[in-house]
Amino acid sequence: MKRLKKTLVNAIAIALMGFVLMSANGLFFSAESAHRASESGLHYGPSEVVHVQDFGGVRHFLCRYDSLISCDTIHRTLGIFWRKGNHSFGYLFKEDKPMDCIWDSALDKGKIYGKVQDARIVRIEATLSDGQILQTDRFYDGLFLLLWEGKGVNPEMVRAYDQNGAVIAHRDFP
Amino acid sequence: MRMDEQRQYIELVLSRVRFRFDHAKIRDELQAHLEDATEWYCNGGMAPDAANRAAIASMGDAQEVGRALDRVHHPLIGWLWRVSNWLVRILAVCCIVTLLTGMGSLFSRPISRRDRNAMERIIPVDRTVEMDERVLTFDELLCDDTGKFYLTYHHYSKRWLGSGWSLGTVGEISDGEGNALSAISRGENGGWICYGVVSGDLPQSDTLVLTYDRFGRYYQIVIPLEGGGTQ
Repeated sequence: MKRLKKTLVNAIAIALMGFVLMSANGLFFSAESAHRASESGLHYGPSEVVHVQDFGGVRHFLCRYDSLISCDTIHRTLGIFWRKGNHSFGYLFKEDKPMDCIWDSALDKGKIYGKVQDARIVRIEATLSDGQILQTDRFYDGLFLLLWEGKGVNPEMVRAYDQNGAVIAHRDFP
Repeated sequence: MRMDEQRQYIELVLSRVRFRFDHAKIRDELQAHLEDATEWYCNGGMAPDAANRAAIASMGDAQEVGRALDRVHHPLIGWLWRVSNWLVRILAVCCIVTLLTGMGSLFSRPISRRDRNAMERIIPVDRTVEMDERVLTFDELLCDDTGKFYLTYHHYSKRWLGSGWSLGTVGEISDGEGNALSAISRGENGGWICYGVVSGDLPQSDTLVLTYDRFGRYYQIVIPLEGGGTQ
């Protein structure tokens, strides 16, 4: 019983110290909490989450805040925790373009996200510098997201197609 | 011979105790009990060999004693206790390092006390704004004799020991007529309380205005440039 009591005391101490370390190091049990903390830490948002997608051990939150679009990337840490990643801030896409997008990468993972404003667009295709071609025909409230893995890989061009395969809009990345 | 019998008895008991990390402690205790019992029987007039056998018999059946000790020194509780001991030590070190690192910012100032005391004018500001989880206080406006101003501030997170993003900009500086002024901001980040300063050229107007207007957050600090004293 004495040893059991000591173990219980240890468990309480571990829980308290765990809380201290989690708080001090920006760790969260849920990705959504990390995302919200990331936004409020930057004095941005709270944004409306339009779509969530997991890819390669990170979770992407495609969001809208007023007219700004963001794709916040939350990283899994130590197996069970989540911590803020990058790109919590929103971007103002051009309203006069049928399709506009931006890209970002960190470590060996990249993302392209953007907005379509032409109802004819049914498919987005991105060509990467390593020859990969990414496609999506899924749109989330007019927004799209493409993800890839590969160190040093960046997009070269993004094309928006209609149902007949005609290019409606494009964006080149020099 | 006597020691061999005692050792055999102890090893038979320990063969029933699954948690091996406690074997050394149990062995010492049983050995001490057997020696005390043997001495007691010898003092009672028994021959050493007989006393030894009596002492062993008085301890009880080795298997039964072993099973009883195994219940007390249960391996699950034992392992939980050992692992939790190590975890407590590791986490304690991590906590101490984290707390010391956070405390470091308490002693860091963007403008030294000596430089502050050398300023031509010190205008108290003492305005606090809260923005999400951050509490930001603008402390003083310091003016040197070269026409430069230094607006000092400090901030902390309301999230206990909160670790967040760097503060970034504290706002745009303008004069009393709304003309934007060029200013440089620098400060510490990552500690419990972080200190920073915004510096630039003093305008000709009688007020300095700091305005923050981003992403739905807004505050404005109007600082009269008249008044203020020296140290």
